[in-house]
Amino acid sequence: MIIRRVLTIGGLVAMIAVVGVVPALADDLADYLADAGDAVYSGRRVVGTTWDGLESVGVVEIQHLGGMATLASGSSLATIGGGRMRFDGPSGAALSFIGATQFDLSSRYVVSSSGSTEHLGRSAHVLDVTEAGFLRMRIIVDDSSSAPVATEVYARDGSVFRYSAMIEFSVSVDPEMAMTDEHPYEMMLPVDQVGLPVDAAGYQLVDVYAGPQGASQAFYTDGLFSFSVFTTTGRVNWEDAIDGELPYTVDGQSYWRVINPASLWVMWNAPGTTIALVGDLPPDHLEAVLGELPKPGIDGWMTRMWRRLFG
Amino acid sequence: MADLIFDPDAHGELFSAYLDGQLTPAEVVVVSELLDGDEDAIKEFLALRHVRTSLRLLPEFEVPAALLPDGHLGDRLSAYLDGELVTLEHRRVTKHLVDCSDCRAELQELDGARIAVRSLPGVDTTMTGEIAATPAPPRRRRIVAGGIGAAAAAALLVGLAVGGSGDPVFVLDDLATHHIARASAEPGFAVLPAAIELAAP
Repeated sequence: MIIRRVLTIGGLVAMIAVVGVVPALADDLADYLADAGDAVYSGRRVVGTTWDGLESVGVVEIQHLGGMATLASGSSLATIGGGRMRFDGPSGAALSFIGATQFDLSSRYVVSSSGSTEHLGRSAHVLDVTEAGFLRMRIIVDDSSSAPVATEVYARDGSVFRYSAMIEFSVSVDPEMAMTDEHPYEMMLPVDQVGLPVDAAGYQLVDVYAGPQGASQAFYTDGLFSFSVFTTTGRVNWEDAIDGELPYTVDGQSYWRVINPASLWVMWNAPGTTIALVGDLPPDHLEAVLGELPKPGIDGWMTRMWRRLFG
Repeated sequence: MADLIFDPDAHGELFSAYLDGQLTPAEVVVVSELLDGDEDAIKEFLALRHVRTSLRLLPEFEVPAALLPDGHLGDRLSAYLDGELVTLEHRRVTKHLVDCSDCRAELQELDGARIAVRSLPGVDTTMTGEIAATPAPPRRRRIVAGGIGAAAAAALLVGLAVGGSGDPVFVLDDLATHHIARASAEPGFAVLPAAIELAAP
């Protein structure tokens, strides 16, 4: 208890000192994201992604409190936040990751206010997030709750790549969400680094975990978008595995991709390795990242022969 | 500096507990009602959150090793596993775990012991509303794309990998689950949480 008091007092003293000398903190993107993380609200949210004429859209009920979001649709329920996720659905899981990053977002993104607006009859303001001078993201923030009530992510050509909007909104939440979470979680602890670049097109390799099915999970982020690269030994025939999708080509290299409402999956085989990238990064970022990860390729004929003979 | 001064008779403590998710359902109803119409309460809530945000954005306050038993986390590991730590303390413990292999090992041991206790015969975990934390068993030579948005689901079918018996197994929605859980620790997740992939039918 004494230790906690010391920490609290020390933190407050430090905070007062810093707040006194950094008055422009509220203009920082990190500040807005932190406010959005703390926002308390509920309602229904539509999220969609449009890319190369393909579209994927979903609607979900959301409750947001204490940095945790509970998303419900049909009989599925997911509670997510702070590196924890519990999914009560067909493939139920409860995971708790040990990892968090503090990035200087201003090194890549600049945020500016673009005036006032309304969303669902409530007063709101518009934030523009630019990257190298072009608009990357527009966020409409509810004035009273700081909730992000609408978001648009733009591709490099200026088209809307992903959008999200609350179609019902309230600042109240279901009291049940305040119940203590006593569920057991599978703890995910960082492991040694894998043979992947520590920086991929501006995304930093933050940590690596033992992933599912014997794979390893390398987590990258630039502070706004993020992705994980899952690698495992062996080779998957993606063409047979993913029906109805055409190969996705970057710099003459073929990948397989799946477009979801709020994320992308890209899969390929590199020599001796199967790789899957899961993340929310926009198309131009994705192409740059793929250029710095292991390229698609096939095993040597000796390896193929060995596998054919001995499995 | 003005917004750092609070009325001691106001709702600061209640709001603070609310933001930490520590209220009872009845108390949450009270707070929700306050935030739905009371302008003063909303202002006070926003001011409190501003302070918390400012605190969180400070450089990490390093705890002198001498203040911790043996420089490690000790009993706080149990509280961490039980989800009993409040936001700031949770972050400090998490940061220490990233850097300290001894505490990570101890946490793994603790977690293993908890799982062993839960698996003992006669322990009815359903009484506490627990769900299985064990990931789905590996499915040999299978690749599954499932649990995603309706439009994508229509375009995707479950497929079988072909080749030798040593083919890897990737259950794509397991990968998505792991990514989303990790990504939720990052600030950008607040703007566009991707878990809609899992929750959508």
